Amino acid sequence: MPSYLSNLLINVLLIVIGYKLFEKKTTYLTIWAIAWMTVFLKIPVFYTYHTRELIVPTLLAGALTGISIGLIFRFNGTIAGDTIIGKILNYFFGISLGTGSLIFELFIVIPFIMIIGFTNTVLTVIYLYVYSVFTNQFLANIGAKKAVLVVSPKYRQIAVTISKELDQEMTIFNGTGYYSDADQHMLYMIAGPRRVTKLVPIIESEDKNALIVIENIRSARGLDMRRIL
Amino acid sequence: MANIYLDKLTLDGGRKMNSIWNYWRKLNIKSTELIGVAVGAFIYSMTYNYLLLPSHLGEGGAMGITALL
Repeated sequence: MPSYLSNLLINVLLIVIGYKLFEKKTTYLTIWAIAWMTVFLKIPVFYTYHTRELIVPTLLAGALTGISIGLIFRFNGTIAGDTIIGKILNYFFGISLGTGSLIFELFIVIPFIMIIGFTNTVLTVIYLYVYSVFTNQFLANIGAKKAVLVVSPKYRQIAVTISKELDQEMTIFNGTGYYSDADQHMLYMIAGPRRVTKLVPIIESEDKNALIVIENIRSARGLDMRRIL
Repeated sequence: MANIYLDKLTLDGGRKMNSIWNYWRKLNIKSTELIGVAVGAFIYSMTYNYLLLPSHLGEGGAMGITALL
């Protein structure tokens, strides 16, 4: 089978599986990403970087690929191939997107030892590892949703102000203090990083002594949220 | 007669455009998503052209399977 045809068939198959499993817009954004890549890959190379220290381009390529794929994932796209497999593994097993892609790529790359030689195979494995770490770090730190937990006796006032000013959804939990044995109410909300910077001053303006806990969310499952956040 | 036919075509075309537009709106694709994905595709493509290809680093994914086949 000609390589262009097998490449096309594999990617079409993966996109169809993705269409069935994920949000419809992920499929359209994948096609959008592939269209732009076709254009960008056609841009002539003006400068060829040559070095005997192959570890330098390996690490740099791993970092840049990780950032680019992280960016595409963050905006709900993929570039088909291993990235859809990564998303499928994330969907079914909760494996991080970067790690899912890495597992799949390792299965493909290791037999390459016969074709590209031992050194290049090792460098490729290093490249894939750095790519996976950067993708995971990018998704965990850039634009990731955050869970905000607020413990305060003025929880009702805080909730009203936040709801009025930011239209933020939240849940009130009832708890009991261990030492005081008194009732404690907690506000729980999920928000983007930009909104969190607005939330904290509002909470502090209502109660300076409120306990505010902010955590990164890796993923959420339930209702329409069965995807990486 | 021709005018009636043209009117029908315009009406059908309008309805089709309307349903495509409604479908597109339901997808709720934001402009930031389109720009973000395009920027990611740019960085990926430049990395591939300037770093991966000259270093002869093998890649996995669909291209890898293709090479193995």
